[in-house]
Amino acid sequence: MTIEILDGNRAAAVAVKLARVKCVPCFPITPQTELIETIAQWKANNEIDVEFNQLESEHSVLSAALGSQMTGARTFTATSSQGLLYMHEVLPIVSGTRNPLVMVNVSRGLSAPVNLWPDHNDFLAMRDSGWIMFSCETNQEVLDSIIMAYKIAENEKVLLPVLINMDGFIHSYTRTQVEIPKQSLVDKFLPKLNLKVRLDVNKPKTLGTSAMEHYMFFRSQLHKAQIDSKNIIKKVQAEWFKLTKRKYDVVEKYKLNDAKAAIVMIGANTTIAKSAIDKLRKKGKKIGLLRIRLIRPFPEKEIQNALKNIKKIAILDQNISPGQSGILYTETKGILDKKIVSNYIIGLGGNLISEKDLIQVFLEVLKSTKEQRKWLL
Amino acid sequence: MLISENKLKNQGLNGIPFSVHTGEIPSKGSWRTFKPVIDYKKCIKCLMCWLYCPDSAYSLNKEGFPVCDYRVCKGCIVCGNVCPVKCISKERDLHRGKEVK
Repeated sequence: MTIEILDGNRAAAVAVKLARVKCVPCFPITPQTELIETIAQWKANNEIDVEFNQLESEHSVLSAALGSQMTGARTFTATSSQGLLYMHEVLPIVSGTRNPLVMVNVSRGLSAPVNLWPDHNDFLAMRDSGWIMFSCETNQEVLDSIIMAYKIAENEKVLLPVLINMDGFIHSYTRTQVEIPKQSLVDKFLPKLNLKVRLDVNKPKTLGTSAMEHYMFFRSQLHKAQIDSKNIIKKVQAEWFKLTKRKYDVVEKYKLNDAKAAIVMIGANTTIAKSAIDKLRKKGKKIGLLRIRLIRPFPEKEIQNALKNIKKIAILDQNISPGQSGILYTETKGILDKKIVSNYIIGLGGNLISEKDLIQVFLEVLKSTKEQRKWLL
Repeated sequence: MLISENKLKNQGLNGIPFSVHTGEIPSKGSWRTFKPVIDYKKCIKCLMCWLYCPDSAYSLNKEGFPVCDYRVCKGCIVCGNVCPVKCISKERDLHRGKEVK
């Protein structure tokens, strides 16, 4: 184990190297560029054994990644924002053919107007694609999540692609301390990929054939695999904890035990929210935080359990479904009965959020007597 | 049939939509409105039709002439358009909607 000062992009590249990925088709897009540049540099210096291709568009990138993964080679790709939306057509094909591909999305606001800063609208727009989805808080979590994602995805009961989200700039270009596990440890944790159903010239087969009357059967299998994957995710996280002493769960509870009000959010801004909560706690205000790490399969029971004794809840969304509300709000509100659930839209397109702003929001939540929908402009 | 969500069974690899090839070619010939017909007296064996056919319907016989497999051909007549000596003509296919041999 070594400790290095890495930004999110490099941490992800290190994870790709440790996972012994065989193929990386890619297309550069800010703020993901440094990730594939790092892999390209290693490839040029012969430091990594990988098939590296730059294609003409993101649509081609995911199609190529699908083809490579279908042959049984461990594949990785990364994209952001408009690139992810351009890939959208291929996303359900990857999950429908049950390919254990892993992709990183470096989230960035959607155009128009053109924006480069973090915003979760791109990532959360993919929630119906059948992929397992993780949202990260730190660069360390990005590295760990990628290695764990291959183990989860390649499990025979799962066989689903995984999409991992980190926030543009706040993760991707900000250097923090990252522990890099030893190659031998990762090799022990992540054995060689051996797909049973794969493309093979000696045994020709078609993957993703037409299924008119059986379509619903395959959809139900995809849904079931998603639901079953939650237990496997927990097992893999427990195994990773034994090896590295870094603990992850599908939701992260922060000072929730005696809290009167709770904040629910995802992404990098959680760190600011946590320090705001620490300051409020010193003044005797009982407030806690729930970070949803796993977006799909949605950890319904875990969220209900964590918030069962708390009446006042605020969902802080760094995204907006125009004409409705924040996406996490609609997802979470349906499973929370008899509670005051408010929605705050924050930080769209990287709009800066200070601790002061969040303290103001949190005090309002503690006092709230009815549901509110507000924007932090 | 109504079935509760928690009674769905994970059927593992059977949940993957794939089919194993048996080597048999399923007939697509009934899609066609026109079929290509080669005049072998004019053919110069340049193999442009073989190269350009989007469905790989062309194969070569022992003498090296291209032969069209009408079970695979969908009648796009790209072969006729790329033929430099114009020896491939299109013929109205009356078998539309029926199985073609």
